[in-house]
Amino acid sequence: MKGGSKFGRLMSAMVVLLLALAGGALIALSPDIALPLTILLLPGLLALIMDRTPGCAVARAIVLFQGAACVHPVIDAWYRCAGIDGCMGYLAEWPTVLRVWLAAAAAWITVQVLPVALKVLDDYRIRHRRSVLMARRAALAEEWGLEDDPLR
Amino acid sequence: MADDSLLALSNTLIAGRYAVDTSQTVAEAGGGLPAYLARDRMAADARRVALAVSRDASPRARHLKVLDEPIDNLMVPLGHGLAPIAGGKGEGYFVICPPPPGPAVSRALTVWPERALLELVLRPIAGVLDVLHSRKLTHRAIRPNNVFQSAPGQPVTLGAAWAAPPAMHQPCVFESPYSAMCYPACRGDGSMADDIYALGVLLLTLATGRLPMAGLDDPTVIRWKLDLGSFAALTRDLPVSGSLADLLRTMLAEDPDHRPLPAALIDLAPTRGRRLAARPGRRSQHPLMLSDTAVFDARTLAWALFCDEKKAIQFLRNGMVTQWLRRALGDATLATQIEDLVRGRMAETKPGSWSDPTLVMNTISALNPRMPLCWRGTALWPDALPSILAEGIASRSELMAAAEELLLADVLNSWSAEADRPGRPEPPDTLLQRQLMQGGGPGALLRLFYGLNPMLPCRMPMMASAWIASVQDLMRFFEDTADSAGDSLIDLHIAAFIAARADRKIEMQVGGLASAKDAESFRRAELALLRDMQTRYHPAAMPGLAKWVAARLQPDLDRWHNKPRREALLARLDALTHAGTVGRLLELAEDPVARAADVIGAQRATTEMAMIDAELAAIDRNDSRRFAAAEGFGQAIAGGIGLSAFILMAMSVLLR
Repeated sequence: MKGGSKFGRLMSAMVVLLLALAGGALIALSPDIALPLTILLLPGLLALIMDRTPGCAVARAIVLFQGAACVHPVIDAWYRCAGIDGCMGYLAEWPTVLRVWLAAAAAWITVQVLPVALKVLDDYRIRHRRSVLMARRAALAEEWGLEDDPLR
Repeated sequence: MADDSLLALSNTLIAGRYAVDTSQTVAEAGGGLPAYLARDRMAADARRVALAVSRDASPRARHLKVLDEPIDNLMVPLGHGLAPIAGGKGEGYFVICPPPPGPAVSRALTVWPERALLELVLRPIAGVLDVLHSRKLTHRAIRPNNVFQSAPGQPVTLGAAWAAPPAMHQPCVFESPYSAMCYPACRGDGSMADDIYALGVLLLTLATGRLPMAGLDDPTVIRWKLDLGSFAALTRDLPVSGSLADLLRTMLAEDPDHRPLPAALIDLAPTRGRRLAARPGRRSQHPLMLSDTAVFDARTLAWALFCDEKKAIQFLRNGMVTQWLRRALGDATLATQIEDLVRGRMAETKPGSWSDPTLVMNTISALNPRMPLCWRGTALWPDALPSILAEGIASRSELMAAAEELLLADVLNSWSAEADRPGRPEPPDTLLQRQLMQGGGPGALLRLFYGLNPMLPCRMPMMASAWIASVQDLMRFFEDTADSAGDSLIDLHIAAFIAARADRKIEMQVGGLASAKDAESFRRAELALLRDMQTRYHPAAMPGLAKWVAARLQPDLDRWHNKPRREALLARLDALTHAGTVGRLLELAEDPVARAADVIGAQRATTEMAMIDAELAAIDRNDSRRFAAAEGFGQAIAGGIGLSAFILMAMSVLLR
């Protein structure tokens, strides 16, 4: 468990490092795409700063969801726009921004809802197991009279 | 219904034919014992006499067994057994005899002519005694109220002597001094010479028409007989004709060996004129005063020592007795013999409480070998041990104490070795009895009592109205009274009774019962004993006893862990209780294989229950941890979905 959290922290640092490297490379290769991309990934970047969960699990999910939503617009912008203004006009238009940010919102909702749903499912399983155990216990107590004097 | 009443009637008959009516007594017929009218159902309701056996005095079992056919001029036993007492007062034991032919000769004592005396009294009774002698039996109840005559001129009939211990009801006068000085219960079977003696006194009584030595108390009678000799003492103030006097002199001889046998009395011709030349004992001119008794010879010295044991020990220790024997009586041999006994006593480094009584007993035996065993002021003949115990338990605790001491100190054997006493029956085998006394625990004396008196009933107060004399009777009693019984049926007293009356195996089980260390082991031993007693002595169903046993088995059933099995056992136990077999109840409760399986099952159940409890506790305890795990898992899944979507998007671009 301790190792797991350590691994999580390492992975988190690696993600941040990889994102930083990717961001640096993008700024160096294509600074006109980097700025609008920053706007598209803004929720994920903010989440990376604010997330206190182990391994920045929430931010990681948001960034991955946003990354998936950004792939097609960024590739299109790579071939079809030039200059910061052009790329801003192409990438930072509202439908694109809304789609990417909705992906971020979906990621956040998924991260919030999925544990609760899993816990509900687990509770159901445990309740069933408990009732089985209680029934068996009652049967043993009834058959062997163990409630009165377990070790007669 | 008719069959039932017939069966009930046959159960109340003795030997299947004699019905006893205890509401009708037959006066005089018992010679001092209570006698009732009896009817012989197989002889047109012919009259018989039923002699009641006392609960405190054993009937003569050997006589009842051996005397199985009629003997002329004797009321022989026809049967014996239990019969109900009128008025619902329980049951009693009776000896059935033919009715006496007429009144007892004691009713109107008259002077009998010598010829009638010989023909109608001496010969018939001598004939009876001869038959008894041939069967190695004695009568020991020859006295005027036990001799009957149908009509003048008819031979007399000797009454019964089977329903009480030998000589128990004999007046002192009719016994030789050595028998008379014993308690009535301590006289023993004796020998034929004792019967001849009693017959001699009877002849004297009838010849003179009055009881000899009438009006004298028993110690005086004994003292005079010892002092003067029996014949002289008895005929002191009674006129007796010459030929009869010779006959009586031989019949009343001091030495039992000098008394004629019964056969010699049937035909008097060869013995007529025979005179005994018994050497008179030494007699001193100067008496030894011992208490208030002036002693002139060894015989009266023995009697005086017996009468006052304290003085006896004092006189023996200070040498007065030996000095008088040597100087006044002139019997140096006897004096030396007594000196040896006293010296042996004084040389004892650790004298016990039995040392002085043993010295007195041995001294008395040495002075007069015909004396009975004298122990702490009690005179007894060892062959009377059964009736001594019966009397001791019933009323005389000093007799009981004496009997206990005699057995524990092995006095009987040492006394028997002291002198040969011809004619007396062999002393009982005291070795076995001594072993029983020393190893038998607190109930040993009771056990001995029941063993030596096989016809007497158990003396438990609650059995006072029933005659419980065998283990079969006891089992029937248990069956009838188990409903009101407490936690235990077999106490120390009943255990002694069972040990004495049951077979060897049961006896050993009783020993195990006595050595039980706690209540639980006693309960188990008691139930096992009841089971074996039922198997051995009462195979029929005993639902009453089975119900009691079932209640006592409840703790065993409660120990069963498996509830359904326990309930099934209870139901089965209930069914078996009605069947009334104790053994099957115990089998059910004590099945070792099922019991072991039950214990193993209980252990497994306990283990499984502990595991369940641990798992339930873990479920309650790990709720928050499970939520954290679900959160981490959910986040990982969300990350996985995002990564998958990203890869799919990237692949779709690259493969476009």
